[in-house]
Amino acid sequence: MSTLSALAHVQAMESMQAVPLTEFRHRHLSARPLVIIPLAMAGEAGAPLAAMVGSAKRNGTLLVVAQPRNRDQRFAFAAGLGRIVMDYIDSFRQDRRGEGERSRYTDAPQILVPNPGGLKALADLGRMCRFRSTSGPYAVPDVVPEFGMWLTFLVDKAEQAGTSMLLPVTGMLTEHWATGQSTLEDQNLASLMAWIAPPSGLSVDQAMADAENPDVCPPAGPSTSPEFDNRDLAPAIRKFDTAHKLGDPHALSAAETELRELIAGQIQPTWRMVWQAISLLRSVPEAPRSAKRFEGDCKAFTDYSNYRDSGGLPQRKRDTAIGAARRLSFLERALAEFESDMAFDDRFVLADRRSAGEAFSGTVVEAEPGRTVTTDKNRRVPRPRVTVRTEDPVRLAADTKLISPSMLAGHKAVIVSVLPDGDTARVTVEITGGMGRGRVPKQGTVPEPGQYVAYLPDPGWRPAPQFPASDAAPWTHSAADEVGTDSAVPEDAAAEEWGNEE
Amino acid sequence: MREPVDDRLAALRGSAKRLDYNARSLAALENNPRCTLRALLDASGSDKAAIATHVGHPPAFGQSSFAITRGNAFEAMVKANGCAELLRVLRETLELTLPEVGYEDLNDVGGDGRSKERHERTEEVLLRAARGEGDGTLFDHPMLCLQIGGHKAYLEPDLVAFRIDGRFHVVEIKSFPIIDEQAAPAQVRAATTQASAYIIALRDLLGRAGIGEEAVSDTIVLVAPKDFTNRPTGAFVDARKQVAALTRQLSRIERVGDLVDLLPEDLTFDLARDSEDRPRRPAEELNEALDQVLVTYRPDCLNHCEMAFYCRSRARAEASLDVLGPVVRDQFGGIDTTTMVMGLARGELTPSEDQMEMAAALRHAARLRAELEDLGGAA
Amino acid sequence: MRNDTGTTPEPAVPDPATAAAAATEAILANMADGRHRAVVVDSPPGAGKSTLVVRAAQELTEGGERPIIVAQTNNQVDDLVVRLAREHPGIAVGRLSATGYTPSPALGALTNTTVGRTLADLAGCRIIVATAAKWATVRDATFGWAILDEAYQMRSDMLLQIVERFDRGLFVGDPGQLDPFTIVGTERWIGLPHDPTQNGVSVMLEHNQNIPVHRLPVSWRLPSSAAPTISRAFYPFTHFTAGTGEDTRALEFRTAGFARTDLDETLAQAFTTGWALHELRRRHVPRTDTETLQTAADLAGRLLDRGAVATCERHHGGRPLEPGDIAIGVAHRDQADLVRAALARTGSPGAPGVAVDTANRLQGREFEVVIVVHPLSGRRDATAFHLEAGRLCVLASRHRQACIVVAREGIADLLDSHPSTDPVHLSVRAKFPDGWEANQIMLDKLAQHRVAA
Repeated sequence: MSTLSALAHVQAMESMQAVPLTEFRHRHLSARPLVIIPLAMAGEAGAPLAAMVGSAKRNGTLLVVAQPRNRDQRFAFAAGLGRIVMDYIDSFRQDRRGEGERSRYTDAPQILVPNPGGLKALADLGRMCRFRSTSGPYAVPDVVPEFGMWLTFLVDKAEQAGTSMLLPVTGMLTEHWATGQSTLEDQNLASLMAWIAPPSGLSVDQAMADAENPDVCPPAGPSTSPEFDNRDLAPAIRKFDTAHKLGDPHALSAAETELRELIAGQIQPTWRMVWQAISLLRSVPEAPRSAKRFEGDCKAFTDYSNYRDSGGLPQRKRDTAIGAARRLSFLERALAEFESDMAFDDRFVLADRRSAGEAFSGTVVEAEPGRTVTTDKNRRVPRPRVTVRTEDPVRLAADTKLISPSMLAGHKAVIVSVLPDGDTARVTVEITGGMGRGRVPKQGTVPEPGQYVAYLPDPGWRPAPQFPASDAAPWTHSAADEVGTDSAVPEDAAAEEWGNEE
Repeated sequence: MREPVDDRLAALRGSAKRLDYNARSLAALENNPRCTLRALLDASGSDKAAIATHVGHPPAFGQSSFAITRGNAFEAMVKANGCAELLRVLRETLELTLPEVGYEDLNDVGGDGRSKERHERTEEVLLRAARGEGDGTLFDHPMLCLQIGGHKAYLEPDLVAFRIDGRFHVVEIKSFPIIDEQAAPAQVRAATTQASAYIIALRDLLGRAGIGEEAVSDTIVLVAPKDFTNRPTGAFVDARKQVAALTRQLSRIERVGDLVDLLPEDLTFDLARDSEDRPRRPAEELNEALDQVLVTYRPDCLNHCEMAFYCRSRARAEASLDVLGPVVRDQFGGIDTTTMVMGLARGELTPSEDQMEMAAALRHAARLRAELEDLGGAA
Repeated sequence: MRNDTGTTPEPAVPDPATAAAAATEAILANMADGRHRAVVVDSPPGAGKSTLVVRAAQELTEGGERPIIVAQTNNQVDDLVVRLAREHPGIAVGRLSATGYTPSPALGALTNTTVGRTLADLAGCRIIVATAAKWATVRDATFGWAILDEAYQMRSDMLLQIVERFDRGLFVGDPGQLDPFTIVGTERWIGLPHDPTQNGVSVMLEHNQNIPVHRLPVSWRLPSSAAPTISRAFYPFTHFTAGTGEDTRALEFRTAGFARTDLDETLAQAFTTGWALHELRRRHVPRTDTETLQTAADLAGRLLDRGAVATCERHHGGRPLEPGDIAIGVAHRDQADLVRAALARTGSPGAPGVAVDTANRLQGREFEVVIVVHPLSGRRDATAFHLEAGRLCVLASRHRQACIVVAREGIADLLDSHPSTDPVHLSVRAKFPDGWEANQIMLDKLAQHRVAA
């Protein structure tokens, strides 16, 4: 965190309203996102209790598991949710452009959950479903393992910085707004919204108090409030169980209705709030480079679609040595690029880096536009130098490679020197790229005296690391006596024992 | 000088019944050891939840009956039939050699559920085992005892296993799942802190009989449901650091005397309950009493401490940067309040010599923000 | 005076040189017997790691091997190449490098060294040295042996990229220094034996049983005033001793002190005892606090201005300290930048020659006097980063003569209020030394050498 971002939080706390941290929204926001609000039963291992799902505020579908401990009901729920999600995903597998290798879908799905807990709940659901067998004992509907694999794909992708196919809404909001509360409290969607857009007629203070009162703002899940569990849910589930045992269809349907109503009361406020958050996010303009990252999403989506079409296996329980190393390299690269993209696109983010001395901007005070050097290959090339006076506390060392959001695309420079000058600093840079191919730089490619310029470090290009083939983990990364302990599909997949059914 | 301190602590608690340390208050020792208010309330055995509730900031640590039911059912299942499932986990999953099995139930002794009697029985049985007499290997719900600040706290592990490599091992049975060999870190940590207290208490018990601490392993055995099933699996947890940390904090509780000395003579957190157990003390008066004690509020307290909402409201009222959490606060060096930060940033306050540098950084940041907002940033 | 108090002496080691030689022989014997795919050598600070690497490379060459050496940075590679080429003028040494690399003057002056972009350029070389990153770009070549230097600083995913280049490996490194890290926050690999964010040595040991793990028992760098404390704080399970006796090393001023009494008092403390804690007034400050950073720079400037002569086993008659003999170590890069600026302000002509860097970049380096800005100085809270044992270990174990720590008062209280809160994971052994514990031991030691500013 920089002093600038920290100051934004203090400003929010003092003025009792959220303060913008960025100029843009750096995440692609689909025209038709699918919102899922998962609820789980307390104390159970990933036992879904309910979910509200839909791609428009007005047509949410509520799915409820009357007895979450019952295995059949659990998978009936997974199948129900799976069908809705798969219909949604399949709707993006229509429009495909390009030929052969380069062919890809032009749009990608986007699933939004209220908070990081919602993401974890989907991860658990994906893990629970993807290995299930559709035949033999404990068979599940066809859609269940397919849904599980897709969820796992989306959850894995969500770890990659800058992607947009599965996101928690709290994360999107806190990327753009600073509140006057802690990171912990920011994970509560209602508390966060209290700062950004308190319900009309309420002060932020009142809205914050309401946000923590489960009777006014039920938790956004996946856990329900203990008071609700003990006071409402437990008796309602008991009623359902009794009716079930007695085989009384009338009582059963009454109990089911009661349960649905109770859960609807808990989940609907969050549903409305998520859609309100989405429309707030829509009002923030999307960052220019978000489109490039979204193309990456479309490619990943296409690749996984093709893999599913070819009958690919479910994702492993844990990464293999080679798979983990590949993924780490991929995630590191994505994060570095995302951070650089944001600073390049966004004055606020750039200012953040400037306040930490990792970027600078200022006015050109001297220029040597005609400077040239002779290369190894005995060619004369333009290497103009300019000196920028800046008030920023620059900490970049000589030889740092730079890019500039204030110059034309392709502009590259390198720091020659940074000299303190009273309260300011004079940074001399040599322009190394983006001037065209001629001996003289193209018009407008070299900043002129008096011009305002901004520079930040070039994340650069790194070659993709080369690892051994996936099935050939070398001696340092595999034990001699390892006999495929983690095959892609565990043999006990179908028969995972259940129990504790009441 | 024990007694005067105890008298003072008793006066702080007032007429209420003394509450002993429990798993949560022991964990708090580790989470926020420097908070004076927490230290005093815990050391005096005051009812933090009742006090917080009375001043209008009730804690939100309700437990769902589903979680309780599930926890009990799982433990019962693991221990059914002489711990058949537990033995399977120890032998098959954890590949331990348990030559013979002798199950000892240390729950209520002959219908006597009192802690002291159960502790005496536990002591007798465990010492016999440690000396190689008796054939106990699995001890169900032993009652251990830990001296904390001169008071006995009774602690009850789920199970203690002996003769895993010739040592006692604390076995924690938890109902959160172990999915693909991983479990939620916060829950593992909480379980480990709890088990660390058992390890210390167990070492203490044996130590008094001259048995060295190496008789108790500092690796705990965690037994929990595997993946999404109800079938238990197990994992080892290395608790060495938590045992060391808790030992250190316990040795510091004695210093509560120093804290007491700083308090006004007549300070008390007594709720003055009437015959029907209703608190009669005016809430404002109790609030004033609490306000006289230093607190160290961090947002993380909301996860741990019954007093957290009270402390947060106090921090908010003081415009303290503690409200925003340590990451934000870290940026402002020695400055404590939003008022001071904003005053310096706007150049409305004159910085003291110590604040000069921070003030310059803040003015630079404020200039940057003004520049951004002037250029039409979303407001 | 320069002896550490309160530590138990090592079990009778008659002579450090003998002990060290025995360890080296055992390592070479293990390599020669052909029974192991890997041999690991744990080396505490300054225990002759480079000497071992050079020796092992030479022995392998003699046995007809054509070993490769993998180091982590270009500087480390250059240092090794220079040592190899100088000590073994008869062996052709190759330095594999990326485009844009310019050999240092010392390296350029060597006649038995070739610099090449590809292996083909180095066909005549008996030993080839390069960074791990460079080796990762090499394909289709396999060597009998690789010597991996600073192996604990190499991430397991990097090892995976180079492991196909060799059949057997000698892994040499210091387990007490900073662990490799990643900026990516994910828990998905925790507990896996092949976690790519772990160091390569640990991952290799997880997958291979009966790998001999040696340790070098003697630090030739650390003086007798430092070795016992560093050993106890950071190597709690594997003690080491100093290779030099109490009277071998000494620092003396060339001029008398005047005017700046607090700086002089601190320097005097460090010169006579090998340690000093220069304690500034208690205050919470941001890490960029000028007073703290300027004080570190001023101490270096003052030392240079007064001039010091260092006596040691290499220079029995004493040698004047030069700027390059002094380092200032910090935790953060912005602090390093600010200390460099502060050095310029001291006006001392030699000041720009003082090495200033973060712990990460000082790893593996050696100086006569090191001035450390304590990672916890002036902080309100102690994060895992600031408590990390490896960070303090690097900073406090670079010196041959003396170590001066600059800190604001209040670290003891800070440690009290922040017990170690490392996350706990299933089936993952806790990492030792514990940062909290190591910090306490260091602080206890420094308290005996405290000078209030």
